[in-house]
Amino acid sequence: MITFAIRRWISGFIVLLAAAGLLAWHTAHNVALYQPVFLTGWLLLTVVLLLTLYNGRKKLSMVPMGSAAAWLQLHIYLGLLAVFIFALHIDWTLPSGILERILALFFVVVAGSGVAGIYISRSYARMLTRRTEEVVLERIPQFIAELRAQAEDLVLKSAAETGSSTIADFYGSRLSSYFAAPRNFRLHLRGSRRASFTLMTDMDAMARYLNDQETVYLEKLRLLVERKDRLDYAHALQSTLKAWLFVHLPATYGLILLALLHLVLVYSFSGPR
Amino acid sequence: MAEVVTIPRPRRWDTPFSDEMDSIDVERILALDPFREMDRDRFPDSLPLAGIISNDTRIVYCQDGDIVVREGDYGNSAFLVITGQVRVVLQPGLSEAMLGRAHSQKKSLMQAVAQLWRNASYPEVWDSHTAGAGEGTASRAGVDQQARVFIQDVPRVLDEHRTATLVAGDMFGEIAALGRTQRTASVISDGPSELLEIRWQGLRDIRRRVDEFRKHVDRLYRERSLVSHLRATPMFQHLDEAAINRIAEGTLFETYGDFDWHTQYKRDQGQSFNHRLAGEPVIVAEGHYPDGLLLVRAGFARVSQVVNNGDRTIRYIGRGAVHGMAEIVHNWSDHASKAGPDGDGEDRTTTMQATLRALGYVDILRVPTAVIEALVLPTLSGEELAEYGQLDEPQDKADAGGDNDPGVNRLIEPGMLEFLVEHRYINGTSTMLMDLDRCVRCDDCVVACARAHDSNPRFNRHGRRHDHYMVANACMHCMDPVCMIGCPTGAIHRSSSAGQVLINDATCIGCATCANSCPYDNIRMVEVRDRNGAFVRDSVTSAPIVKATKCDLCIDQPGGPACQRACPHDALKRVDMQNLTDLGRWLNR
Repeated sequence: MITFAIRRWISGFIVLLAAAGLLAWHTAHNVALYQPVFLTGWLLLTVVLLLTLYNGRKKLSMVPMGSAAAWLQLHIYLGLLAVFIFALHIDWTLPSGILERILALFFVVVAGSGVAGIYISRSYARMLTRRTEEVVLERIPQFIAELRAQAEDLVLKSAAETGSSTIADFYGSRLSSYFAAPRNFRLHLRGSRRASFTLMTDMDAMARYLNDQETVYLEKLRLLVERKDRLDYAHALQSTLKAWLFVHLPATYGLILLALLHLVLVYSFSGPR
Repeated sequence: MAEVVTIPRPRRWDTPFSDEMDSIDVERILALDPFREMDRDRFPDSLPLAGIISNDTRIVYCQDGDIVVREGDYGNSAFLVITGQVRVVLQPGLSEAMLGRAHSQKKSLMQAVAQLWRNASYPEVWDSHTAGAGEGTASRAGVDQQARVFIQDVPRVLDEHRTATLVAGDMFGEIAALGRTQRTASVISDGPSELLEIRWQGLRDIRRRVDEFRKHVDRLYRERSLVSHLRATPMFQHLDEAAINRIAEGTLFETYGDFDWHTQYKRDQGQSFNHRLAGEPVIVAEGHYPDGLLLVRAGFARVSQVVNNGDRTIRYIGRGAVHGMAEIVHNWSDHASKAGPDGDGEDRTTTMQATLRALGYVDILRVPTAVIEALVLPTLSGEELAEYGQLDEPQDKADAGGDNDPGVNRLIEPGMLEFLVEHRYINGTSTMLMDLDRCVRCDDCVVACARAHDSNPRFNRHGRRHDHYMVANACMHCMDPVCMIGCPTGAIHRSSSAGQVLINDATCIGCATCANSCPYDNIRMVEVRDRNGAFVRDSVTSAPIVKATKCDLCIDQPGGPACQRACPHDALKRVDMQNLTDLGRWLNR
């Protein structure tokens, strides 16, 4: 079994080799006064269509046509090659026509979201493993609701048993909205713990005004806040792990439609070749 | 102060094998051979023979054609014919279909794709027309209220198969019951018969106290299985028949641990490591003289070395493995050199370099050192002696970068090894291991599994974690599948093709014996539905019909396990825990 590092080197080398071959071929066509833009255009369209097959493969998990992991590797490195073909196709310059510019923008969005997706997939998976328990994204709202019910129960008991409203007031002003839904999305994506740190600091500050009985309740509340923070973290990361596909996939469909339109226009108005 | 809850101390016979054994039955059984001949004084007052008969046996009434035991099943009991006769079906045995097992056929490519639209809208839809037993068989409740699969056309089956007849007084099934091995043949009732079923605990206690009975069982094992086991052992493969037979004569049978290890394992969850380690019987201790070569006949054992105040696991071994050869080779070589013309006469006896402990239940064959020295070592070449003589390096030296590391330690970090052993994941042949550092929680594996299995995934993407690895709750298709013990209809069985543990929906009666036995909670009982999504109910009690479900490794899918193939990030692998090299490479990708 080859290691991931070796696999990356081999795949990267193959892509570089293919890119060098394409560049030589493109240069030769240029020198021979051919119009390589037609060939790179067709090649790019073919590669993009091949890349879309990966999504179909994921749907057909029951069909024995290679593992999804092998297909993803092909998708990634063929995608990188597509970026190079795209650069050759537009001759390393910004296209001039409006449609072509929109088409180029779609390509950049698709390629960029793909690269971002790989980065997110690799880094967020690790971050999730280090800081959270395994929890299914769709069940997070239910877990938060359970935590909220526990927190509210705790606060009511505290007020009833201690005759003090300090914790209840704090809950009303700082924690009720915190427990209402997933929070601090962007902070968690950046790996920042500022939000929970601030809450904990405020709870420490409030502890000065509590007696022993109330302190016990505060400590229980603190544990619930910590658990909620972990759920928020899992929610932010897992949502993003799914959400980037909502950019990548629609942009791909848009790209294909625009590319077909581009193809029709090119063959309609380009004149003799 | 909280009220102290007291209960009577649980005792072995709190749950007898059958509630229907009365004193008349017990007296009647005690008057039969071989019990009549047994000296009752050999049994202590706390464990009288009559008590064993009363609590560890039951009378089974079979009708013509009833399948008493099925070839390939794991049994935990033996049978004594009381009246009537039974037929042992000799090789080739009954077909899989006749034994009430599912005939697994792979779907064609089109059938596989068609699952996308042909799968029912509801999970676990049960086609009632497919319900039933197997080809030429059906199921019925016996007089003793036990579900039993029977052969419909007995004369035809007897015509088509060679059989041996067992009559009143004959016993069968004791080897599989005591050795935790598969039944080697199917037995069917030839006409009405009355059988005494003895569960393994009773058999064990009788075997311990009655020499004749022990010799009988040992003789049967020696005759049927021992020689073939010895022949399969690498260092004996070149020996001739006479030598093998002499080794067989000298071999001792030993059993360690608890046959029902899964109950103890579940009970010990949450206990400290040291507590659980102390509960593992020591087969041979580090520092002791190597008095024999140990061959593992069944089960698993932990090999560990003392490091300061603790024991570090260096590997685990299972069926077919050998322990102690290196020490024997060393002592033999040293003895030869000491006794030679240039020998210094100094005693350099090498003691056992590691402790061997039973993980659960282990059957050991101990070949005395003298036998090995006389029959095996002189026949080995210098290279073979060097290969077999590689000692385990002490762990403190291995930590310091010793060069004699057995290899496993370098591939699998000690914490991971301990984790796998501690939770008995070593039992798996297709354990679902997930690398959480690569898993993006997309659930593609779960979706793929559901597509391949009645719209209901057969595993949970959840389980115990060590570092960034997780063992998911998916059937591991164990080497020692305790879930198969006690299935009344044989619905849970091993596939004859690749040994996967499968459940035949048609013969599963939803008793949950397998689900309760699985130490890893990897079998789930589900309520089945009809095509309209309504729960299927018992026509008498109206209770929902349930069936046991678990991973079947996509045995009917053309591409193998869908979960593994569906993972885009190389995060999931079905791992054979016996192949440590493969596991180590995957962990160190």
